Amino acid sequence: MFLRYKRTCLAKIKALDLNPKLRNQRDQTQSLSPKKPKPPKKSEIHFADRAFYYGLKITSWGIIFLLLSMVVLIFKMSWPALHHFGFRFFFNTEWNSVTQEFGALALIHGTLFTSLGALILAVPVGVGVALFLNEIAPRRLAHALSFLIETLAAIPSVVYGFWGLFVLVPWLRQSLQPWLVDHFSWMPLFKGYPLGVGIMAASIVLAIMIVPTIASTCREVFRAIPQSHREAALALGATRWEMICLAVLKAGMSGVIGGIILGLGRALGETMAVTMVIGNRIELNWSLLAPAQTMASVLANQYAEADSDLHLSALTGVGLTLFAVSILVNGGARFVVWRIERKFRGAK
Amino acid sequence: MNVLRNLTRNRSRTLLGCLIVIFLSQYCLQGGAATLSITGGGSTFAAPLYSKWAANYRMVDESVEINYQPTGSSAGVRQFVAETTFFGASDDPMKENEIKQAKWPILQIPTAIGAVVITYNLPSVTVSLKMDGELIGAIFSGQVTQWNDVRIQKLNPKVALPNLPITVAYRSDGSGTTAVFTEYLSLKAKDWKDKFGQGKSIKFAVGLGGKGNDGVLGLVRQNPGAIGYMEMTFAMANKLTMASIKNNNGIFVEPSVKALTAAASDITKIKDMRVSLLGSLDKGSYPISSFTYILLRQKMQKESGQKLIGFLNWALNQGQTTATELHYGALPKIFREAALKSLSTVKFE
Repeated sequence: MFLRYKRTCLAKIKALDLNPKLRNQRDQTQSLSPKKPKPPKKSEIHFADRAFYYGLKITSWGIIFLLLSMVVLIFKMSWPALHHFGFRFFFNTEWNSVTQEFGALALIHGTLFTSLGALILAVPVGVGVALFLNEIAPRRLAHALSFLIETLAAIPSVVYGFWGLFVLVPWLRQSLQPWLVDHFSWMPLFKGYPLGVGIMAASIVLAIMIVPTIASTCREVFRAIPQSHREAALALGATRWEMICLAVLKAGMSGVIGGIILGLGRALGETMAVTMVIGNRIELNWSLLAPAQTMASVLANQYAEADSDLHLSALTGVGLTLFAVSILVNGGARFVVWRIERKFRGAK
Repeated sequence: MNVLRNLTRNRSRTLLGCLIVIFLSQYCLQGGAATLSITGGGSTFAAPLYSKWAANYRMVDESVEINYQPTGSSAGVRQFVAETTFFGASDDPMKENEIKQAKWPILQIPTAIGAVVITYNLPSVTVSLKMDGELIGAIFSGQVTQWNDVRIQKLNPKVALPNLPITVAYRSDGSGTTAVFTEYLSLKAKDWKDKFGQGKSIKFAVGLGGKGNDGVLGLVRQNPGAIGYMEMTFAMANKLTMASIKNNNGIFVEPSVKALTAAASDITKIKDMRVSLLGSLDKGSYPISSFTYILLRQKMQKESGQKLIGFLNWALNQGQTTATELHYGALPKIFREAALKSLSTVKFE
């Protein structure tokens, strides 16, 4: 690729030298520009430039400072609980404010389980939508559809919650879940009584919420892939499906994963919509039909009315855990991206 | 003149001009009247009442604006002690050790009576089911799992109960409602106190959690066979079927404003206004009820303090009809007198 580009450039330069008309033009433009641009002295830099520079510097350091101070504050506030329970805090499923026993495992599990479910549902749809808009749909339809998808991203989460509670949950309870219980209750994943609210409802609502995020990021990524790649694949005899796999998906893999991370970030931290449909039971359950509770949702539920200092501190501890889980998940995903990119570079 | 002509040159500018004029006039009006804003917060249960009172009081005294934030009782107490708010509001009165944290003397004034009601979703049953503490405890601890259980049938011999599993709905957020409800169960249901205890958020053995009264309402409305507890004002406003609960005289009483006011009517002498109404011996009383309180500093800053006391005096006299309109129980006469008397002990500095 690069070699070919270099060759064409060299050819152009040669042509410039040979063609007298073009040579004249080039010489003129060269003589107009100063021969050696001097690096500007400090006093010569315009005031606005300097102000802009320092402004940017302050704001970017401000972000870092803000983040650090938040971590310090959350850590300080959650210290009593962390100190009191030790590492047990992260491995205990019991959460009882009457007996003052607080463990975050059920909440961590709830958060990860619902988010994973949401990803499983949303990634194929999101990537598929992006591929369809970019590769297959006629331009007008693509415009209309992408507008609709972006609108989906702008709907407040509480509206998704309401929709989930009043449309999705009754449907799950009356149609899908009884059928699942009838046919698949031998699987631990589908054990239980069809309640409607629960992990399944939360996962579906989350999936719908993160589809636009994944789709729009993936679309940008696919759009950035040069048309020549696709043409090359097609020219080599690839079908459209093979072309999409080879030239689009593989090349855009790191971007796709980036989009998935963004979606996952939203799913991990989503509060209102989840609270409304998850059933709010602090219990570690492996069944999709069972109610559960997530870290973000327990904060929204209990923070305002936490009686004891230990309860409050344990809740802050949950906040800290959520923070740590997000960082771990993000870091892990970034590691995957890095690995993929390295593999690609190695292949070349 | 020129400016005006420019402004009216096209439509969007006219619009802009209008907006500016509106904003300016708003600003002038607000500034001109010099309203005093008093901020308080806490109990979500009493929030509809306090907001209504605040709105009505604007017509009585224009110079003061009561700004009430329903942050929840515990947060209300915490903010009040931290002096973030000028007054607090809580369904649970502050205990001695909490008052000690505050460093200054505190007055706790009851303002109205609230109740916790049991609502259920049984499409085939339209009458008010009879329940007692023992049965409610058994249902909410997961011992009674079917609606046609003998224990329910025994109290309701004439009702055809459906063969439907019971889905329990509880408040997942910390709440004074849960506190009153579990306090009642701790008194009346066997083993409840040891197994679950009482408090603003407890760990229920079965069921689904809903955030807020509306969360519980959603769960109950949606699930045939669901049963839940919530504030009476909320259930009344939504016209739900409510269970009749057996009171201390063995009489089943349907929740109503009258039955609430009756709950405090048997108290003839007041030692402490922080009194539980769960032990009420009045025949017509609804058994799961409690006062809700406003928390004040005994020594207040003069200007805001006088206005606030004025507001509370008004609320305890003229405001009581508003309370019953909103389905809160009105304070009995002796409590009102005691509350007014304790308001008069406030000192200004």
